[in-house]
Formats: sequence, C-alpha cells, structure tokens
Amino acid sequence: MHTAPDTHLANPAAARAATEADQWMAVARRWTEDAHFAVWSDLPATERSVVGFFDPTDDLGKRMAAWGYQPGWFDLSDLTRFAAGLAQAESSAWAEGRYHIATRAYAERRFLVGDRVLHWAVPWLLAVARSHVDRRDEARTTAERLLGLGDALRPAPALSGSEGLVVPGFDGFGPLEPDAPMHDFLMSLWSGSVLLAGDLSRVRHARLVYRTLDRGWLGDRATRSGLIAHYLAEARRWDMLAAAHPGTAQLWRDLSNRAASTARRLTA
Amino acid sequence: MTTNSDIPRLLPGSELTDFPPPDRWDDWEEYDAKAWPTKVKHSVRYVPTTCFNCESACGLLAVIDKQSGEVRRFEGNPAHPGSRGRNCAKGPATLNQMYDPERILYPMRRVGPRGSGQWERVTWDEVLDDIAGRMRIALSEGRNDEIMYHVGRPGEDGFMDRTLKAWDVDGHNSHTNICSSGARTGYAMWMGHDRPSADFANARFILLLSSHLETGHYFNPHAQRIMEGKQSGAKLAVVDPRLSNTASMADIWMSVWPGTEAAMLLAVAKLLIDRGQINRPFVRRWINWEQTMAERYPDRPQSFDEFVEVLAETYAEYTPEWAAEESGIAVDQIFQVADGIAAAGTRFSSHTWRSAGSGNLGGWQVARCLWFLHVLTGSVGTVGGTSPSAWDKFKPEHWNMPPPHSRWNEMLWPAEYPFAHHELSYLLPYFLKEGRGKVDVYFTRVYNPVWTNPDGFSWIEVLTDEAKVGLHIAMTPTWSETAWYADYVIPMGVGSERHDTHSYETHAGQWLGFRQPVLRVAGEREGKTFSRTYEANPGEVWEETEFWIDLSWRVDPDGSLGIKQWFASPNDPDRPISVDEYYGWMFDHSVPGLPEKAADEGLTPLQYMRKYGAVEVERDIYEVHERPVGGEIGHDGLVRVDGKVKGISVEGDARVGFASPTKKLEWWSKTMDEWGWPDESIPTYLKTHVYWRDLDQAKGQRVLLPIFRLPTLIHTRSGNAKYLYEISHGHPLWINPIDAEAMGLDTGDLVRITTDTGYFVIRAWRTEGIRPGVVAASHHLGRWRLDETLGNERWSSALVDIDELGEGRWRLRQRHGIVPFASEDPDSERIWWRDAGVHQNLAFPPHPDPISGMHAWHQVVTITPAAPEDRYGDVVVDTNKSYQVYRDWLGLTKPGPGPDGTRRPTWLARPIKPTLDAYRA
Repeated sequence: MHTAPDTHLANPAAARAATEADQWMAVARRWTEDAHFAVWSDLPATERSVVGFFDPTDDLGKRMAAWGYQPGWFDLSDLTRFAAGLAQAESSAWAEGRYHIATRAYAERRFLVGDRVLHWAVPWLLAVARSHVDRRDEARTTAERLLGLGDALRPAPALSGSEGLVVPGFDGFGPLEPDAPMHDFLMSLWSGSVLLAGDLSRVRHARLVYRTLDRGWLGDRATRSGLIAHYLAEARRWDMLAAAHPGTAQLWRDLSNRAASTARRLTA
Repeated sequence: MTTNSDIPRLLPGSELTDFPPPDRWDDWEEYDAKAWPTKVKHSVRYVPTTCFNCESACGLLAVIDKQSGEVRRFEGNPAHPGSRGRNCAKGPATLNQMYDPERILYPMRRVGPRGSGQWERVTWDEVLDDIAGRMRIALSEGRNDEIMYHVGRPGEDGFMDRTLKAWDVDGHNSHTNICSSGARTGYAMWMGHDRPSADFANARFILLLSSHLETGHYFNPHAQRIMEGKQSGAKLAVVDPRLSNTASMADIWMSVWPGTEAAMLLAVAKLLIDRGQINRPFVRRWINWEQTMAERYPDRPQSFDEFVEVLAETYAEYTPEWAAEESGIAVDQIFQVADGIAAAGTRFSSHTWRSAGSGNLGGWQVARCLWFLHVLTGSVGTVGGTSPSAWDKFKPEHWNMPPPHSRWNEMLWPAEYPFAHHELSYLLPYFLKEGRGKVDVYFTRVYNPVWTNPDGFSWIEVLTDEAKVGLHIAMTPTWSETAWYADYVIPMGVGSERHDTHSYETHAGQWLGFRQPVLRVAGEREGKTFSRTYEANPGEVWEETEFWIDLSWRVDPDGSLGIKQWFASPNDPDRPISVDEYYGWMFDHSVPGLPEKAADEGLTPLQYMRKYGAVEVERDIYEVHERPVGGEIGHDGLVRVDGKVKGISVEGDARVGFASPTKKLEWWSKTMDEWGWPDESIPTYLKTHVYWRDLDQAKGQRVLLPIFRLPTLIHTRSGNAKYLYEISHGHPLWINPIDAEAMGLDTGDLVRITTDTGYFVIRAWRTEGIRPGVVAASHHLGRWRLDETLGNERWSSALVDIDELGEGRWRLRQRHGIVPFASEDPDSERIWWRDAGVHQNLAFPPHPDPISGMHAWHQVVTITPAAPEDRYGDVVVDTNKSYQVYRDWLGLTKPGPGPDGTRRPTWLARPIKPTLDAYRA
C-alpha cells in the first residue's frame, strides 16, 4: 500500500496534486466496463467510440510508455487511472524536490485532461445520465467531478468580454469532417452530441435496444424533426455548461456551435 | 494526501522520465532508439553545459556517444538550480545547431565588394593578425571610440567588461534598446535595480503583463514556477491584447488596448489606496515620502498621513470605470485584480519585461506603475512577492579585472538621451549619416541588426559604406542577414561549444551556471589535450573567451599599450591565460560555498563545475533591503563606509536599502524632476504613440503588435534548427473577425500593411484571439538570403532580391520560400514547409522614447487588401522617410547635461561604467 509521505502536508503543491490523484482514482474505480456493462454495450467509454473518425491509442500509448504505465483499454477508467498516477507522481516529486518530474507530470496531465479525456468523457457521461436512468446520479456526479478538475487545470478556458471563442491552435475536437456521410457524422460527437440508444428511441418514438441509426430514417420527417430538436436542445445545454465551467468552456462552446450547425444541416 | 493503494505508481522504474545519477554521468549505457526492436547498447557520457538560445541559460546535458565521439542529444540538467532539469524546445535543438550541414565551420573573409557574397576561407591566425593590426593603429592614434562591440545575446557575465576596460574603449553597444530598456527604466526610477525577480512558486496572486516572459526569455524556469504557484493555489492574471499561451491559462485575461496598461494599473492602485488596503508600515518605512513632502509638497503638512492623502489625490481620476473604458476591458476585471492583490498582500508577484514597455512611447511607465502596486502592498522582497533582480543574481569576481575606462562615446551615449537605460544602438545608422563619427572596427557579436533592428535598409546603407564602417567582423554561430555585409565572418560556438559563466534571476535564490565546450571536456576526460577549443569543436568553430584573449594579446604584443598585462597567465606572464586558469581562479576565490562542496566530493572547484555545470550559491533570499549595515549615518540619513554610501537609516535602523539615490523606493524621482521631466517623475499614465482613440479605423488604421515571440524560435539563432522550424514556420497577421469582415478579408488573403516609411505584404489569419482594432505578427519569422546556397540557413530563409527603386527607396521581393535541398543531412530533402515569413521590421521607422531610449515597436498601420502587383513577402521602404521619423522623435528629447553638469545621472546603471570624470560634459 502506497501512502504519500508526510512532507506532502508541508508542500501545498504536493498536497493539491495528491488530492487530485484521489479524485481521478475515484473516477477510475467507478467507471470500469465491468461495473457498467450495460452502458458499455450501448457505447463504450473510449474516445475512439465516442468521437469516431480518430483513434488516439497510438498517441496515448507513447505517452503512457514514457511513464512506465501499462495501458488497458484506453477507456475512461484507464485514462483516469493514468491521470491519477501522474498526479501522484507529481505530488511525490514536489515533496521530494524533483522538479523536473513534478512539472513534467503536471504538463502531461494537463494535456491528457484537455486533449484526451474531458472533451469526450463529459459528453458521454451526460448522455449516459440521460439515457440510463439507473446510472443518472452517478454519471452526473462523475461529470461534475471531471468538470471541477477541468476548472482547476483550465485546459480550455473561457474568454472574457468580446474577444471571441476560439483559442488559437486549439484542437480538442479536431476538424469538423463536414464531408462525412450524415449518418456517420451524427453518430460522432463531432456532430455536437453523443447519441445513445435512449436518445434515438426518443427521436424514433420507439424503444431501441441497440444504439442504431438506420440511414433510411434520415429521410423520415418526424425522425429528422426529432433530431433537430435534440441538437437545438444540446446547443443550449452546452452553452449552460460553458457558463458554469470556465476552465473548460471552450470545449462546450465548440460543441454548442457544432450542435447548432448540425441542426441547420438537418433542417436544410 | 492520498492513501489510495491502487493509484498506479509511475515512478521509479521509468527511465524515460528521469536522469542517471550524476556519479554515473561519465559512464552510462543506453539502448539505441533507432535500432528498436533490436537492443543495441551504446556507452555514453553526460557532460553538462548551458543553453545559449535565450537569456535564461537553462542547464543542458550533452549525451555523447563514446564510440563515435558525437553528441547524440541534449537533455535538461537536474543539477541546475534555475531550470531544474527541464527545457523548452530550444534546448534540445542545440543538436541541430551543432550539426547543421549549412553551418559556417571556418573563418571567412570577403574577396569582392562588401555585400557581394564572395568569400574565401582563411586561418584564425590571419583573422587575428588583421583585426589586431587595425585595432592597434586605432588605439595608438587615440581613436578608441572607433572600436565598437555590438552584442545581441551576451550569454556571459563580465568577460567582455574586462576586455573593453583593458582596451580602454567605451565601445560596448548592446541590443537592449530594442529589447528591454523601457521596463528597465521604469524599475530603475524606483530603486536603481532595473528588473524584477518574482517568487512565483510561493505567490498567491500573479500578474503578468504580456506573454513575453513565459514564451520568450525565462520561459522555462519561470513557467515551471508559475505552475508550482498555481498548484499551490495562486491565481494568475495576464494583461495582453493577444490571447497568448500564457493568457489562455490565466484565471483573468485582460485584453487591453495597447499602451493603456498603466491606466489599468493605476486604477488598481487607486482602489488599494481608497480602500485602505495598502501596507502602511512598509510604505512609511520604505517609500521616499519625507523627501517627497519636503521638496515636492513643501507647503503641505509634513506627515505620512498627508503623504497618503497626496497619493489619494494624485490618483483620484483613475477610477475603475474610467480605466475600464480607457483600456477597453470590463470594469469587474479591474476589481478582480485589485481584490486578488489585496488578498495576496505580500504574496503578490508580477512581471513585465518587453510588451507594453517596449511597444509604446512612454512605455517605461508601465513597469513603474506595476512596481507601484508592490510598493503599496509591501510585496517587495517577500516570500511570494517580487524582488529586485540583483538580489537573485550572483556575480562572481573575475581575475585581474582592469579599472574603469575614462572615455565617453557620444555615438552610444548621446547627449539627447541622458536617461537611456542602454546604448542608443539602433540609431547608429542615423548618427553615422549625420556625421557624428565613424566606426573603424565593428564587431557584431551574435547580433543581426539588419534583420532584428527596425529599418534594416538603413543598416544596409551604412554597412556597405566603408567610409562609415571600416572593418566589420561578424562573430556568429550561424549565417545571418548582417553577416552578409561583413568583411570577416568568424564562426562562434553554440551552447555546447564555449565557456561562459552566468547567473539570472529565476527565483528567490542565487546560482552560477558554467557553459563549457562538451566535446573538449569529453576529450580531456579521455586523456586528449587541446590548446584551443576550436581543436575540439566541429570544423574550426571557436569560443569567444579564447578569441578575445588571443586578439588582445596580438593587439599589444609588446605590452606598450597596457593591454597585454590583463591577458597574461598568472603562472607564466609570457603566455596568454588559459580558460582553465581563468575560470579556475574564479571558482576558487569568489563563489561562496563552492570550494567546500567540491572538497566534499574530492574535486577542485573547477572540476565540480565541469561535473555539474552549475552550483547553488544561496537559496530563499528575501528582504535584502532590511539587512543591517554598518557605517556612519550622515545628516541625510545615508549610511557611509569610507565615504561610499552603503545604506540608509530607517526609523533608527541602519539598513541596506535599495540602489536609488535615497536608498529608498522613490515614488517621486527627484532626478527626473531636476533633469526636466517633473510631470513624468511619479508613476503616471503617458499617452502612447499608438493611442486607440486617435486611430481612423474607417480608413483601415489599426495598431500593429509586431513583437510577440513564439516559444519555439529565438531570433537569428534558431535559423539553423530544423526541429524548431518544422514546428514554427507560419507567419500570419492575427486579425479579429470583426476587423476582417470590415475589410473584406478572409484567412489566407494577402494584405498590405502600410507604415510611416513603407509597406509589407503578409497573409491574414482571422482569429478571436486578438482584440478588434489590433493586429499582430510575430517578430520571429521573415528570414532571407540573397544567394541560393549561401548567406542564411535554408531551413528557415527565403531567397530574395533587393532592388533600389530610387535613392533610399528599397524593395525586397521573394524569389521563392523555403524549399528542400540536398545536403549531408537527409532531412534537408524532406523539408515540407514553405513559408519563411515576412521581414516586417524593415518597414518600421525608429521610435526612440525620449526618456528610456527604448525603440517603441508598436505601429499605427493602415491595412488594405494587397494590390495586384503585390506578392507575399514584399517589403518596400523609403529610408529618407525613416531618417525624418528619427529626426521627429529626436525632437521629443531634453538633452543633457544635467543640473550638476554631468552627461547622465551617475547613479543610473550603464554597461561598463567609466570613471566619474568621463561623466562631465
């Protein structure tokens, strides 16, 4: 059993990183595939599944290898466990005066949080809360926990005044992929929303056991109207989330724009 | 604190994140990454040195393959107290600089007209004899002022001082007036010390003006301490019209109108004063309020309370509401900053260096107003506060230092600028054109004024006129635009190829770094001997320490000029001193604690520094001004020892104080008042030359910010670093979509930017990361060369033509951008980037601030879509107009001498201070 040394108490940076390690680990423990098999069956909690179009495992694998971390499935539990390890490494390093380790662990975790975790994990959790009633509270609590960590690390902060919305060089979501087929696009977070089976059931006014969107359904006026309403509502929800969480507001405003844009494409 | 048992333990066992222990640096084994998955072992040696790319001099470890004798890579040095084992991208790129296939490896002499690009290889002996002969004649004829040393990146502390003193030459010319004189002046007027040293790691509130600090100088040592401070709970506020990387991580980003920063800062000061949130004990004790009341307000009650009332009245107009409108930010941000500073109290740290201070007419007042907040809160020299830099910089003694020289060079320190913090270096072309003098021997040392300074075409005009510049020697580790106009181009070492010592204010402590030629050190450990460092470096690349010793020796071979004595070996006066003797003496005699640390390991001090590359001299340095001092207290309250002022009596205590005339923090500068600047003598808000209310935006006028850095490039020196240019090779004009819409511009469109002297053509980039009304382009791009294969690095430069369109009217036009080329480095054929950028500085006229001497970089420009004949990268300039702008700004000055008949206040710092006699006009 690893216990952080007492020197952590005397070093505020070490203490804060240790606290953060606890918070990440709490997420890692709760959100394993085993614990949420039904949810995983709907849509696995990985960036590759939620975003589509892009597989981050090569990038993640290299980063994890540098720290001697043995990757699992690159899912939410795996990534947050890695984040916990980084926070713990940072904590120990601050306390021991090994600053090159502390600062590197901090920078690595900030990248991990901003570019590989929050932008898809929070939308996924909120979609789970919407569609899986029995997991609603836990999913919301976890999303709030991640958002709180995002407010602390500020990987995609809100801007003030009228400066605008886009951080130069910001690439949390990557390109819009406007040329992708509409079906593939809607099944990706790049559309501005994570659609789970429950969302699609509401749109279709029918209970769907699996997360599926038949290409033919897009020609159905009622389905299309349901999707438009869904994306318009999502745009508003992302705006509210951006207002509440300045540390990651850019992510949610980006999703809001994407959701509104998708609604317009569906209308056209 | 965690007790989680299942948190993965990432360390130890992860060699990729840690360093070998120092005791094994001489003998380490590692696998060849390129041979993976086959395991091929290499025996390597780690040799420490320090980076030469920016000023902060972070520690590097050269990993040298024992078999090939080549450097495999560079990493951080965990033994370096400033950088603590971390580097930015520029440190590891030293490898590119060492092994650049385009590198100048041997001394070269021009064989055709200056600037024609015809060169021949020569020996070091020929170089030394020719330059020394010319210098000897100049010195023998009393033309000492015609020898000039013009430095870009110093990267050393003190060696050049001793060299110029030994020559009896007032010829030190630095780049500082295009860099940091503005901020330096603001700090110096408070306390004599000219720069801040923030204790970010322990701060509760951090205020940064611009991103410069965290993306340019000190990027790595300071950024990691800001990280530490934030992790410990500090809030970060950034003032910058542009959303920089630093600003994007801030809790509060204030995108102000350029030049209005002081208004915002004084509004914060007003809030602190009005709310009674000032640190009264500190202010009473350390501000020069008694002198101020007695001499500036003699008719008012002479009490501290009355002084506080004066402060309240003086800043009454700076309401948050007014300041918010003036600076273009939300008023609640001003309250947030004031609240944050008040809550932090003595744990408030800040920094400004270039940005507003170097962009604006009167920009020096921004630093003065920022320091005012520290004075009001007592966060001067405290834990988590900000100290004068001198407290956190260690200066070792140099062996056999010559006395000060007795000369005053009017071309460097002209009468018009008695307060200029450094030499008026960028005005040299105009001074030469006016006939103020000539330069017979001109060293440009790791400096590229043609490219870096404003109005480069005026520099080309004087550099090609041999009547104005007799012999030009470019001492450089890489090709440059200026080297093209030299008589000699002599190759100097990068961070791993030279000896230097240095120390900088990275935190509340002092350290000394030792740069060393790693291949020479590695060779010596294998039993090889070298007479000169160029025998170990690639080609015949040399180092300056040995160059100056040998040059000085040859200038005065018989000792009749009095120079030779300063460069003779202490062990054998018939030969020049060696670097081991020189630095060995320094480390033996003038670095506290070093001999003891060395002895603990059975090493000499020099061996210790060669092993670790740095030593910590002192840590946790706070409140130096409160240190007791002995001596005699005079009627003026100053404490003197042998007639020299050493401190100040404060409320009955003899204390060290500050470096100002009163040894206190001078809210009112009597010096400025007496020299004709009464209105500017207190912290105040001066109108910038790019004031936003004066813009005619309907006609396309905007403020151009041309001086922001990219964290991955460093002026001329990174031109030969392929890694860095692969990362950073775009040069867009940042323009807000609101402005872009008004002008009908989209991303990628060519735009013409018209200044007072000409125009340049660049591509637009729409981004909300810049406030409307302001546009910006980094100063790190726009390299060029005149020959397909020579004159600059092909990794980073465009091939151009320069045409004189009329007398003084010049055009630079690109023939092509960056293209792949064949060389011994296969990467040169894999170049995929094309954009070399635009040399915007050519189109900027000189804007010398009448007080600080700082070139005010910001420009009011007119933006229009490019004309049909325009091409990307075009620059057209009329140097006659540049000269006229210079004359216009010269008219703003109040020339010396001062009331005491001196050319310059004697208490103000200046490089290589001469004797007091030389100050007499």
